[in-house]
Amino acid sequence: MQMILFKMNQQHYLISADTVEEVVDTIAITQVPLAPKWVEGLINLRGTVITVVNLATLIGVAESATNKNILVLNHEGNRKGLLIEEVMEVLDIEDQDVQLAGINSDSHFVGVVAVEDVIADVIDVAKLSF
Amino acid sequence: MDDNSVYLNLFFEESDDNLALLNDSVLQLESDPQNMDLINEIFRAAHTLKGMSATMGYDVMTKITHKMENLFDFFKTGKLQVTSEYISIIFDCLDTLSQLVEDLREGNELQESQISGPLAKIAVVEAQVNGEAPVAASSTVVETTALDNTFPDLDAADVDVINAAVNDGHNAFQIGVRIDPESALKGARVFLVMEKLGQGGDVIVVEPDTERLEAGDFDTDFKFIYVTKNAQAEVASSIANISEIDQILVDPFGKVTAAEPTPSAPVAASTPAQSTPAVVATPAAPVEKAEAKHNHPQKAANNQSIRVDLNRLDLFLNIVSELVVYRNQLEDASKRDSMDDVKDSLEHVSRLTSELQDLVLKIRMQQVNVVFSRFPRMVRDLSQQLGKDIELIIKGEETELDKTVVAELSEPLIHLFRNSLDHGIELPDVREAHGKPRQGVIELSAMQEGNKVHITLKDDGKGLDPVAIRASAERKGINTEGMSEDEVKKLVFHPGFSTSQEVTNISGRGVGLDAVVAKIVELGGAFDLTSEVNVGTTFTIKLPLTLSIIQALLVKVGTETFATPLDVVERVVMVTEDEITMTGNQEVYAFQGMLIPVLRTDKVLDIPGQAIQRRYGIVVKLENDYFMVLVDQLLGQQEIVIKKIDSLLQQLNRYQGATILGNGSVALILDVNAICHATKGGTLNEVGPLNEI
Repeated sequence: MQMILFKMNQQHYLISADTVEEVVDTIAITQVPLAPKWVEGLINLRGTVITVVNLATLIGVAESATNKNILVLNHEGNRKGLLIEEVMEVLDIEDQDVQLAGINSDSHFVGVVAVEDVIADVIDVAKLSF
Repeated sequence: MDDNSVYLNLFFEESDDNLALLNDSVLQLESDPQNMDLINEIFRAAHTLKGMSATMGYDVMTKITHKMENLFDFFKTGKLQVTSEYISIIFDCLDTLSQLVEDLREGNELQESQISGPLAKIAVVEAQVNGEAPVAASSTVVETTALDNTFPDLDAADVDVINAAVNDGHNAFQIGVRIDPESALKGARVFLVMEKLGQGGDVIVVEPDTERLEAGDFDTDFKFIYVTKNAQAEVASSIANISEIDQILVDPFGKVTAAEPTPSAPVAASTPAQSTPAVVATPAAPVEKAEAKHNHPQKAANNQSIRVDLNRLDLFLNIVSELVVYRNQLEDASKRDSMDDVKDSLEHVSRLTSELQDLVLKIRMQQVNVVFSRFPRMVRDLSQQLGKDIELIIKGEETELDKTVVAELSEPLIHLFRNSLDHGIELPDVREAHGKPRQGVIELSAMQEGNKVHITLKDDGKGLDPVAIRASAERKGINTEGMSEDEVKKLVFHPGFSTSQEVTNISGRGVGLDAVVAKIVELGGAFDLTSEVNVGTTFTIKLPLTLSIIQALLVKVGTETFATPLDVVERVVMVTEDEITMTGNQEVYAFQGMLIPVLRTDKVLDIPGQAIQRRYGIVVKLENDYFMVLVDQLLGQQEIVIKKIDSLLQQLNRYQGATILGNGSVALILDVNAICHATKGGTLNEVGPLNEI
């Protein structure tokens, strides 16, 4: 399956490419007062208003200094943006390459993959804020 | 059939939608048979389908839908377990229905013979359920012989509890109860028994477990151990007072020697759900279900069509061609760097854009007549069927509403109509006895007020009787204690509630009114009900004229820009800090001789405030109350397009949506109504920022 490799604060992460509709450069984000703190705000994606989630805050890791990209996810018709530091590349990952799967069923992390010289956490969108 | 042609298309469209929904949901039900919400949804869709076919006079279709609905009713009341065998029968019906709709679309007459196959199958099932023969799907057939109240496999911990209670001066009883096999709501009976006994003691162990009992998922018998200070006879008589109880067996705990509980025996079968707290928690359950239903994701609207006046389309084309001309001029002027020419052309473009916008909105508008015109026929047919004499008055049928709203309006209105016809208007003799004219009057009217359309359905029938509703609610296990009369009246919107004594072909299965409210809310409208015994009932639906474009006031709070819908704004005044007075815990402002509450937007939204002396106070009028919403800066008035926001953000109950401003940035639209009412109810402080999921 195809997965997108991205990094945040020197850590690497993988997310299934099926759920990612597009990758855009970070644009002006309007804050939403009173929203949960992992909600970064709203963006105007070609005329549609989309909620952007700060992935670092959501999964409880340190924030990166810059956030260059937003992954636009589509989960059963609901679109959400995921604010990340930077997309690296798209990789082909076999299911058996995912290790430590299902260790922590509550977590957003569903496993770990060793790609080339880095180790990347696999993130499941369904468990993200949809 | 000529008189039907206007709404024939509407009928086909809605039938297709409902059939598709039914197909999907029934398929889902097969894999998730315990899902009551799903059954309720299926029930509603089937009910609407039945209602629509009856309105159109397609008796064959109504008949099969009614029979199919019976099956769903059996599922709902627990008389039948959902098995693939029954699901197949339902799919058979659905396929037949689709065929019927196709036939109608091609203009063929429907034949009774087309539905004989599925009807025969349903008849077999009905005979099984109503007759003596036990239903094959039910697994616990053992208890049909004698009522049993023994607990041979009792958990040691439970026995300890019972023994401790007995030593403490309580009596412990083992009680078996058999509910009348005819009872339609077994779950509610169980609840009543538990509730009654809960007042005088504690229920320790229940078999089958409470969840199954509550869902009505058992045969007729259930047993439990009860600890109380009351005597045996008292306990027996208090249970016997509850109606629809067939047989009771009360014995002191451990009496039957043959089934003496052995405290040492380890038992795996007992679950934590059998303990008392679970029983105490039951009253909350129906309410939770009701809420869950409203959150149920609605299916996205399918492809819809609209008929457009050719003149309007021509006009559309003219404007667009004009627009192309000015676009070319703009391009030319920008090439020549002639600022004056650019400005000149822009003016034309902006005029044309607003014309286009108006036109598009107009094209989307439809007269409510499209929906209203089907009711005279329905009232005539139904009043004949019910033996009632009813006059229907329709007013304001030329009022226009957005096409999507009009299309969605028919379903809730059908429900309301059926309700008024069936439960509202009395039989002529009854009316006469109450000193009313024999002929009942139902008035359906539509009226535009501002950018809202009010649709009212008024009958001069018997009205909602709070006493009857209260009694009926209690029979169904809904706790009405401490409810005001108005709250009791609103119980008719509770899922599964019906005040009618018997199930009729027209309404009265207790589905409908909750669906009506859900639908209206989905359309962005509000719903109101006033009713007086013997005077009549009035339902009012308030709907937004269009769903997408509104006039708004753009304001700035801190560094953020927000939009406020203009329709609630009464006026805007400049306010200095010393004009605001603190009274009690509420800041007020003297406005036209009244003191009105002041809401600081920065505080309400938890935005860092700015230390400025002069702010702008937006005076809003909601129903009859005035409020002042304080903002830092006024940016101006603008027409904005409402964009939906995430349901997650909608739950904050502070924003109507978002909009995109001229510079491409996103601004939130404040839900002034919700903000003001939250303060009114004193809940403002409770709705803080959401925590982590």
